[in-house]
Formats: sequence, C-alpha cells, structure tokens
Amino acid sequence: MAGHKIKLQSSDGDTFDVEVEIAKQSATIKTMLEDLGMDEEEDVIPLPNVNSAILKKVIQWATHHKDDPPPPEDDENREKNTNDISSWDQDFLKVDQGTLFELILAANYLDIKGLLDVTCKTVANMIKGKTPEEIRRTFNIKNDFTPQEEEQIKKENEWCEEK
Amino acid sequence: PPISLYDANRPIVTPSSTSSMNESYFTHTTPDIHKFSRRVELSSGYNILKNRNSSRPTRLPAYLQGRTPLAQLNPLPTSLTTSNSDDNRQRRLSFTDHNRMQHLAYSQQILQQFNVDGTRRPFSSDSPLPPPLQLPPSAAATTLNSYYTSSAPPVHNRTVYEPIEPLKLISTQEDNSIAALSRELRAAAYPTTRKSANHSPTRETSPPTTRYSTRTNSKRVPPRSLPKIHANEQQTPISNVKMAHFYHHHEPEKNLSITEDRLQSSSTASLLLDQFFNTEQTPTKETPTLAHEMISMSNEKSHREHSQANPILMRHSSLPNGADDTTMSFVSKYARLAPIVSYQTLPSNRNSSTNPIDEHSTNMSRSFMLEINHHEQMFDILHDLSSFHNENSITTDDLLQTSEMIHTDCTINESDENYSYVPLKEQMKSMNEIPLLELDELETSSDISESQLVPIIYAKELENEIGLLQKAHLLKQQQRSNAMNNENDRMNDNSSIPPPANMELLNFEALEEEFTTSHQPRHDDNTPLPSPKVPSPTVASVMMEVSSSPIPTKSESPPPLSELETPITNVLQQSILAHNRLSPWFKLPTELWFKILPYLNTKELNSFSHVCKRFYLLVQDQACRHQIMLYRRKRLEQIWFDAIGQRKPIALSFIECRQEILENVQHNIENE
Repeated sequence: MAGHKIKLQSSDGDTFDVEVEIAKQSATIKTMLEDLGMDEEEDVIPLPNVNSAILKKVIQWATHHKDDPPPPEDDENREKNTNDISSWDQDFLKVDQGTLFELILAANYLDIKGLLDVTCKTVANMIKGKTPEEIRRTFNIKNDFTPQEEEQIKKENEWCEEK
Repeated sequence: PPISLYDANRPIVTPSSTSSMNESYFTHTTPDIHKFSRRVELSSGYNILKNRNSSRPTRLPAYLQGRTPLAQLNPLPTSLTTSNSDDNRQRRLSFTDHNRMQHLAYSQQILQQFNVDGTRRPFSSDSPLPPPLQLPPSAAATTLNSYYTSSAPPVHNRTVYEPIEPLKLISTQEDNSIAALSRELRAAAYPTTRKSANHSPTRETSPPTTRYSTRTNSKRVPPRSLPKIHANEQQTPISNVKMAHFYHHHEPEKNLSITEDRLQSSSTASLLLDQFFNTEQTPTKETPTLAHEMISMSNEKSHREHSQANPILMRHSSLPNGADDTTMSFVSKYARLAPIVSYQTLPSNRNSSTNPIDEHSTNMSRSFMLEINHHEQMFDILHDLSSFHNENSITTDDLLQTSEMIHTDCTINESDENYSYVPLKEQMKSMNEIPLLELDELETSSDISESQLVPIIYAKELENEIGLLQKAHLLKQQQRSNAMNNENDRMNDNSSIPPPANMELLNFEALEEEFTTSHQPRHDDNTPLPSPKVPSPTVASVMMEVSSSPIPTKSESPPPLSELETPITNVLQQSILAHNRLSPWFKLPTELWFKILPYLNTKELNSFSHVCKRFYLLVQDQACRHQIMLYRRKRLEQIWFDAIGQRKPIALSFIECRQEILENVQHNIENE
C-alpha cells in the first residue's frame, strides 16, 4: 500500500506525515501499527522521547534508506568494522555531539537498527586512535581517578601496552 | 561360495540335515558377498545380524502369506513344538536375517508336516503353518507345563486386525494361558520396537519372529487402548515375573541409594538436614528414651575419643528425666538454632573461639563431629537450662557470632570441656567456601574457558559486592552528610536539571560505590589472587585511606591539613562528578555504550578505560566482548590474569609466551 501515510508526533507536538513503509523501519512504530491496529490515516503516533529536530533527522535517514535490505541480525562472532559507513551516512552524521547523542537515543527508542549501528560506529570512530586525554577532551569528561587508582589501572592493563 | 566365520560356526537347523538343504542355503547367500563380508568386518556377531535388517526389507515367504493358518482348526500336539535351546537361540538371533528366516520358516514347515514318529501329518505340503511359539525364558521358568502349540496367527498380511479365537493352548491353567495369549496378541498387534514406526500390524514387513523378541524382553507395557481379553490379566505369570523383576531391580537400588546417602552425609546440605530432621523427630514426650540415646551415643563417643566424658554424661543423664515437656520442646527448638560443637580432641584449642570445622580438613571428620555433637547438644542445652546460664542469650540474639560457652556454674564441665556455639549459617558458609577456593585455580590457569569462569567469578563478585556495597553505602552516607555542609551551590543547580530519559541506568552514586568495590581487593598487595574474600570489617577504613590520600589530584592546591583531607577530597570528587554529569556521553545509557564498545579493539578499550571511572567500569564488563591476545610476553603477571579474568573475554590467546612462565604461574597458584 504505497503512499499510505501515518502521522508521527514528536515530544514538542509537531506532527510529521510519513509513509508507512518508511515509518516501519522503526520496529517500535511497526509494532504499534500491527498490534494496535493503527491503520487509519487519522491516527497519530506519539513519540514522547523524540523531539521534532531529531525526529526530522530520523525521518530523513529512514527516507533515504527505505529501499535498503533489512539489516542482518547481530552476529556476535562477526568482526565489528567501523569503516563501512556510507558517504551519505557520514555526511548525514556530521552534526554536533548533542545531535549525535540524541540520534543514538532516538534510534534506540525507535528501534531502528541501521541508524543505531551507524551512529554507534560514528561514536566508536570518535574514540579510535585517541589517548585517554584526547578522549576526555572529546567528550568533555574530567579525570576522576586518584593517582593511586590510575597507577593500579596502568599496572593491571600493562599486558596490552606496547612493548 | 564365501563362508564367513559366522557361517561356519552357526548350526544349521534342518529336520533331516540333507545336503540339498545346505546347498540351497548357501546358494541363497552367494549374491550377498559384499554385504556379508562387510558386515563381518564391522563388528561381532550381534551387530552383524542387527545390521542385516537394513539391507533389505524382511518379508514373509510367499507361501506364508495370505492364508489362514490351519493351526486354528487343527491344533498340533505339544510334543512337536518342544524345541531345544539351540533352536531357541537360533531363532532369536536370526530374526532379522532374511535368508535364515526364510530357511527356518521352510524348515519349520517341513518339521510340522511330520509327526515325531516320522509319519506325515494330514495336511497338505503347502499348509501355511506359522512357526511354533517360543516361550520367553522368564515365562518358561514359571509355566513349565504349559506349552504353546501355536503362536498367534500371522497378522502381517491383514489390513484389519481381529483376534482369532480358536488359538489352542494345551495347558493346565486356562486363565493364565489365555491372559498370556492376550498379551501375545497385543504384542503382535503393536509394533515391536518403537523406533521402527513402519512396523505396523497392517504391514507385511514385520517379521514373525519379532514378536518373540518383544515378548522375551517385554519391557513394554501393553497399550491400554486394546480390549482386555481376560480379567485376570494382571495375574499372568508373565506379569508376575515382571513384577518380581521390578522389585528385584528396585530394592537393591533403593538400598544402594540409602547407603550412598549415608556415605555422602559429609556434604553440607545433608548434614544440616540430618540435624534438622533428627532434632525435629526427637519426641518431646519420650524423655527417658532420649536420655538413653544420648547416653549410648556418648558412650560410643567416649570410647572413640576420650574416657572423661563418660562419667560426666552419665551424671548428667539424670537431668532430662526431670525435664517436662515444655522444657524439652524449647530445648529442641533451641538446639536447632545453635548446634554445639566441642573440641575436646585438641587440647591446645580449648579456649579458642574459632570455628572447629576449619580445623578439620576432611569431610569425614567433620561429619563425625557433627553427628556426635548433634547428640550432645540436647544434653548440653538441657544442662544450660537447668543452671539458667545467662550466656544463652548470646546465641539467640546474634546467630552470626560464635560465642563460647563457658560453664562457670558447672563444676564438672568447667575443667574438661569447652563448647562453642557455631551457628548453622557459619557452618554452611565455611563449607560453601571450599568449592570456591578449589575452583579458583581455574580462573587463572591458562586453559581458561568462559563457561567455567563465568559462574565462579559471578559468585565471587556477588559475594564481594553484597558485603562491600553495604559498608560502602554507609560510608557514602557519612561522606554525603559531611559534604553537604561544605557544598556549594553548584550541586543545587545540578539537582534542578531534569533527569534524562534513562535515568535508572545512570545511578552515579552506585557507580562510584561499584568502582570502589571493584577496586577494593586490589589494594591488598599481599594477595594477588582475587580469592573470594569475606567482607572484612576493615573495609571502611581502607576506603577512607584511599579516598583521603594525601596526594591530591593534578590541578589542586597543596595538601591541606590532615583533618581536612577527607572532606576536601570528597568535595573535589563531587565537583568532578558533577562536571562529568554535564557531559551527554557520560550519561549515555550503559546498554548503548555496550553497542559502541565492541567496535573498539583491546588497545582502544584500554585507552577508553583510562578516561574516568565510569568508562573503566564499562570496559570491565564482558558485554564489550573482549578478545584478548597476549603476544610475546616474557613475563606474565598475576595481576594481568586478574584483570583479564574480570573482563570474561570471549577469546584469550597466548602467542609466543614462554611456557615455563605459564607453568610457574600455575605452580604458584597451586602453592597458594
């Protein structure tokens, strides 16, 4: 039923008309539609954990990826690679950290696996290759270790240091 | 023709062992050269025969199909069917052998065409007589005089099963025979083995001899849906044999299990349960009997251990006689609370209040102590009650404390025995520690596997955390009350910030306590092994030392006065924590961090863990799916294994690590 739309309402009251097939990339929305029988166009799906700016980004991402094959199930033995982010996704995620953070939360809440994967990979790439102090600066986090604790941690992680 | 070892040894049963019969038999087997030799190579005789079933479908010979057996109309005399034991074995073994079955069926046919005296019996040569029914060995033992003259009719070619009535039995007991016949009919109607579902009664593939094997083994209960032919079926000799067999089988097992229970009575649960039940079963009204039991037990004990307790206990045996019922019931309840353990065997430890269970390494001695003490405790509590000793209240108030009972009022026990109340909780605890200590080696050995590691570490962590978190919580409350006095307005501003959506995952105070807890065992440098430590009362002081370290953090003022160290450091930590709380990534729910961190390798995780305490704790979790590789390490530290074991890696590799170092590590662990 192409073209059939539903309304998504953000936490701040904005309403977005989204095609059902696009919205169904979110497992949360899909479950709502199937379990609650919210097929009618008049029905509005409230999303109280997502504000309008983030919901707009999410709809933008889902619209671009509406023809993607369903993402594979999590294989825990599969090696995780962060280099396979598409260029469109890389551009899409060139946002400030607050937006990226909110996108992760929204992808988790809406259960959009593809978006969650790509945002997590982006955060992982923010950590990769950085020293602890650089990570602190990136994430605006202060060191709360005491020197003794730092020494202890250094000692117990000595096995993975370079020789 | 190829003659295997099996063919050479097996007897050939023919009524008149003519050469033509043998030739025809071997002629039959010649097309089977490959299968035959292969089966001989496979294994011994039984399997050879068994495997042969799969080679071709077993069918009745054509002359046995589609006819009603004449045995229904003309019963045979019993003398014809009394076959020797060889014949029994032969038929039973060869029930899957198509060729042999065919041959035997033919020989049976020949056999039944003639009487014993050699005269030909009055039916035609192609009369489809079924082979004579063989009694199962168990049934044959009980019904010596009743022989089956005919088996059940071959039902294999029938589409609808209907029992044929005039099956004749020449027997002395009609009831039993008919009941046995009904059993046989059921066995014929239902397939022999449950595995082969295609052996249905409506098919022709089930060989006639399978019924015998079923009945011989007859472990299968006849199906209830079949109509009962006779009401006395439950009393058939077969069922009697089965019942006797059942009891014969199960009674020794029962006894064996009881014996095993006795032998395994050294385990904790059985010991304690024995104590409970024996105490509960002690009748409160049978005081003289109880006294007698105690006396006999004390005699036995004194015979084993020492000779001094005998007169003492004998003297005190008069005490329970005077006790009334209420006293005894109270005593029995009391004895459950605090069993008494005496240590008379070690004179040097007389006055010590340590747990005597720890002093005995073997389980047997422990069970012996507890068995004896179970009988002694009633007596001693009686004695204590009679003297109204005040120290009784100790054990009722706090079961976790080991209190020593010194009988100052009693002039008899005072010089000879000391008793220590070891509560049941402590007994269980001391015994439960033993497997943890043994399994501790697994954690640090090189052949670690996760399945072994996880429950051990998990149990240890639980044990540590339960105790330490309680104390850390108390300490935290104390620190918070101190910090509240010097708190600036910043914390108040933070408290006005609405909590994030997943606030339940961000319990920062618990996080900090958890960090302190997880670091707690490592402060003890003398014991590098993370052995399951009982939470010690000195935990709070140790934590205070750590948190009030004189060395300040990097950006702080010179060290303040010693009395101001703790509050100032706390305030600094609180301010750092408050700053970190402003960072969204610090507040990212743990479950989402566990989706990010598996993308990092070991080195990156190591850097990440150095950022802050929360990130450190995230990295310690097994959800990061650590794949750890130790590469070319010439020196392996125990603390590494502790840290690695805590992360519960999914893979742990040692590459070009020197073997003797690993062995030394293992050796050191064993020594400790």
